[in-house]
Amino acid sequence: MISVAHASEGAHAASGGGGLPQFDASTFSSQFFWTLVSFLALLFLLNKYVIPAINRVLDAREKTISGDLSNAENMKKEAQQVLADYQAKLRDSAKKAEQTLADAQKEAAQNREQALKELNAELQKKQDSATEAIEQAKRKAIEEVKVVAADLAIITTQKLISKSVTKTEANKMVTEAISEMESAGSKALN
Amino acid sequence: MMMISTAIASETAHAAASAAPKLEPLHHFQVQKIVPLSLFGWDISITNSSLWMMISVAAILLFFKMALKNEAKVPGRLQSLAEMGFVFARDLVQDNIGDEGRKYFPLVLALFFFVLFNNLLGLIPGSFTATSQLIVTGTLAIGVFILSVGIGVARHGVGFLKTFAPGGLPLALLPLMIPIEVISFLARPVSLAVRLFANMTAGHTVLGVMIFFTVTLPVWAGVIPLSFAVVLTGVEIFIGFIQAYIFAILTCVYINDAMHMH
Repeated sequence: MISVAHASEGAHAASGGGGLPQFDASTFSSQFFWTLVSFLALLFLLNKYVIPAINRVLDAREKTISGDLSNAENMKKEAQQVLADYQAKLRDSAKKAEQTLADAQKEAAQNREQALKELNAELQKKQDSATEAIEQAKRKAIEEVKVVAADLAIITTQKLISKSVTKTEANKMVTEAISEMESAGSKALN
Repeated sequence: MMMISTAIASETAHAAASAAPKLEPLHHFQVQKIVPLSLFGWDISITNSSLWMMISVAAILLFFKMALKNEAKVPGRLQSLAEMGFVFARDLVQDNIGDEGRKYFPLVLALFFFVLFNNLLGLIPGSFTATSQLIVTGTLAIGVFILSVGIGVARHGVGFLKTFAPGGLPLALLPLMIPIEVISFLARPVSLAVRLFANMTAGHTVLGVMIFFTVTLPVWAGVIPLSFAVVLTGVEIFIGFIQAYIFAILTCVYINDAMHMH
């Protein structure tokens, strides 16, 4: 084991390097060359193909996301508009219903008042006509009483003038006169 | 050639020692050539280190390709994960540099994922951790350093030298402060490189030792290092993320310092 390790050391020493193989300068030129070549090739290919591809993907995603966001924003605005419209409509219809109710109440009150007025007028008319009738009847009665009283007075006076009468006769005459009158009156009344 | 021969020697040593495993905790940091190549006399062989860097790069691209298969608006699990990493790096740049830092975002994203995938793939048994190589982390760190100096000079010109002379200091202190500021400025790429390299090296070395003990000890005793290795693997995954994060955020901080001098 030790001998082989030594042999390896000897080989290094022979090739000009000591210790780590990394310090063996004989490999430097080829490694330097191929490091440059492979790194520059990587840089070129990344720059030419990979970076544009990833940028495309990221840009497309950003565009999609910002588009979606603005869409969502628009939709939100639209929804808010719809909600506002709905609420306005709701308020309007509530107002309209109130208005209708108020109108109906007013109309009902008017109708009632109207009916009441008409009724009052009718009653007034009936009362008036009744009063009129009563007045008329009263006047007629008075007229008749006047006539009867005049007739009675005439008849009684006639009887008094034509005969002197006793008391009993006088009473009898009056009674006759009244009954005459009554019959005349009832006839007249009927 | 020397490297190949040592690699082969190491391999044969391994094969010969399979009956009795040897403790070689640094063996898995050994860079081995796979395809020898050279360019203008430069050695640019494909090694296990460069192979695993390429695998990491391929894995990152595959990860994003699978994650973004549908480019879905509503992401699945994998796409969420990819977006999370993306947004994480973007916020890192935004928070540390601000709007002006936007053009450095691809760099920070690439650094984060490069370091992260190298750290994580290195945990696969038999794989290679490229970020455990000082030259790899050093290349990245020096690149970031050069970039930040370039930004500073481009924006502030000679005024960028004021970085080394913080405002509001008495003149008498300047001879003391300027060398300190210069050293701390130059230490940035070193600390950036060494932090990542040392974290990866130390973690993997300890893991290697624990697994070595698990294999060599009798089963009843091997349970103890095995349980350590299990816990340490979890810790290493965490460290892989943390180190990638630190590398990315320090890159942002250095760029920001160069842009907005204090």
